[in-house]
Amino acid sequence: MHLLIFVFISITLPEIKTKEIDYISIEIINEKVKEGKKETKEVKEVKEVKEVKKFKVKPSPPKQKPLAIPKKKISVVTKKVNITPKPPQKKPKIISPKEKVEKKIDNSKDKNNDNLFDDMLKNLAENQPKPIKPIKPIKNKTNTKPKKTKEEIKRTQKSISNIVYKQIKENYTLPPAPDLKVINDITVQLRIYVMPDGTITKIIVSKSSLKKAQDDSTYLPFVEAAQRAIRKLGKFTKLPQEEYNSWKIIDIRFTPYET
Amino acid sequence: MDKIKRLVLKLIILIHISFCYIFLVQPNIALSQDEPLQIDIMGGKIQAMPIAISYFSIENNLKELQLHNNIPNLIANNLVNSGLFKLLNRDAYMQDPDQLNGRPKFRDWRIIDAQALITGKITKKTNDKINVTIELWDVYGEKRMFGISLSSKIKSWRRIAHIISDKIYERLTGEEGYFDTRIVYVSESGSQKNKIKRLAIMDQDGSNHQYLTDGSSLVLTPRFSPNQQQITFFSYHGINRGLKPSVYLYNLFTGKMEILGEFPGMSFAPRFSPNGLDLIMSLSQNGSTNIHILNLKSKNIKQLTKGIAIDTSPSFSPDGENIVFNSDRSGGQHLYIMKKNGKNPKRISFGRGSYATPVWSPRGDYIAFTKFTRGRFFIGLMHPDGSAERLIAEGYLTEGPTWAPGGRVLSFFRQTPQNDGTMRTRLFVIDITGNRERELITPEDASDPSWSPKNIN
Repeated sequence: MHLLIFVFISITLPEIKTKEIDYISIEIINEKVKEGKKETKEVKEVKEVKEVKKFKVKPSPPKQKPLAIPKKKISVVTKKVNITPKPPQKKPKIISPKEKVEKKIDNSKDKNNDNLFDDMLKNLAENQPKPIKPIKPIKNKTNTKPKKTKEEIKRTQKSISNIVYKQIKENYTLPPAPDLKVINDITVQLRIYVMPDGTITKIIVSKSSLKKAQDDSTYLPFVEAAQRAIRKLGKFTKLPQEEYNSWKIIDIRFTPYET
Repeated sequence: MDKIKRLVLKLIILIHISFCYIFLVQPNIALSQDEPLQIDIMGGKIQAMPIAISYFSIENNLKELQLHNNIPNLIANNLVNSGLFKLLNRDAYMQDPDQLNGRPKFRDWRIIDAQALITGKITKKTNDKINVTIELWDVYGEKRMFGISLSSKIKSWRRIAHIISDKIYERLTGEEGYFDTRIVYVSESGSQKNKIKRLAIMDQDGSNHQYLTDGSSLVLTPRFSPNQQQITFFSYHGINRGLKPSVYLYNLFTGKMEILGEFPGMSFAPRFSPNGLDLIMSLSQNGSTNIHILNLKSKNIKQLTKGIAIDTSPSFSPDGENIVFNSDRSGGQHLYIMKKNGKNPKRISFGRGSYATPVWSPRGDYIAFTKFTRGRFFIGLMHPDGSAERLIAEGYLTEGPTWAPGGRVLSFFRQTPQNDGTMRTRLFVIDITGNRERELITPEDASDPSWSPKNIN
């Protein structure tokens, strides 16, 4: 049983990591785009790293196409291959140029820093080939921004929620209703889609709210008031770009008062 | 061997850690990143809805009548008086009425934060008839909410404006409008000792005022019939001819007044049943006052309550199945509900003070009443089961609530002592939140208002 689990883990774990790495690398790029002032230094650093990596990685293409390389060089390559025995590299074929660059960046850091999962990987190395190696450095690179713990994620989400909440609430006015407490449940649910720049592109009223609005004319103004608040807002500001995934779709529940 | 054992042990631990990581930690992270952000908005700003009502475009040959200004002004007046809408200053409008014949430039209206825009056009139909077309626009939603076209004689332009107001109100609030309605009331003039009380009627906004009786006899408690054609009231009319004070019917179309039969005692506090076929009232005889129901066609009368208590002020529920009334059968004056046949009377008021003049709302969800407690009069509301009692208006003498169609607005009268020792009696309108009270202007003192049903003519 354990063996099965182990095999499963050994197969799945690298995939998870690669996913994670992809996500993190995107964050870094976004940050650079966002922060104009810091950009110059960081970009320089990255460029330097890129250059180094390019230099380092250069030998790898010959691995795949040894026939095209002169004999003398082949011997050098074989030496390197012996040092780090790896299975045939599947990833490079799939990974986009951007990802390649990021992975290169991570490689450089790998050499400088210790990885949290070093031990784990070493152990894994004894039992299976090491396709994870290029990924490992990315973790190191993200040491400046280590992988978020549950609490950190919660904290970030809370801060995003607060930003979103304030901006919507500022624009939400109750509809003209002679008596708000007529209807038992006047909660309205909307889903909105947001662009990375904060622009709200789409408002969808939940099916239950739509149905209720069709059945009850006194409920319709509450749906319209909720939509109006979103349209009036139009665009969110101050939302962290690097957390775009967490706010690109927002479900909002408007409860004009507690019933 | 030890090395192998240690290695196996390490592997097992690693597997467990990995297992936990994959199945417990990783999914949570994935969820938090992929699931939509959940936001709960509790409460919101309470303010009158800012609306823009443009002057209407009009044919040149009608301009002198000023209807293109008067109709939108009257619509604005109705909506603003409801307390739910705020008219945006027309000086800030960026599009002229003539530019608003098609789709408005919503951006121009969003600049002034108009949430709804009303545009209109008046054309001549025949010599004395006009056609009024209006459209209601959702400015932020950039869509047409509804449109309506009405034709009528030029002299009925006020009625057109009231009907349009109702349609707009209904679309924006979801509630039944009450602008195309009238109010009958008792107009009071003369000195305190020699009061002249006349029946008077007017539109809900105070216009088209007229007197129905000449003031030669005292009138009290007028009530509209559901079809708007008749008014029932208590009067001393004919007292000079030896008739007892009694309940009368007044036909608004013919102007004729008739007494509702000769009853053994004194009849008072009449009110129509929801179908208009019966009249429910109190009859006082042999020291007791009980509630009776009179069939207007057959003139048959049936006693619904019995006993020595004073049972009065009956009012039907909108479905006609129940009757609310007040009675002193438990000692204090309280509100009771019984079936339309007089069975299963049940007390619904339990607060301190005296309760009187209960009126069931047209929606059936509230009963309005007058309450006297701690030396003050109040207008209050409660649900038909007696729950959620709240007081929405007060005064030295505040009495006689009456519901507007839709059951969200009431009228009542308030008597206020003046510095010269006289009393001033005025009509007021208030909504059920108790927040939006305003005086209804009448030529003289006014009491006992009764709001008509929606105009069906």
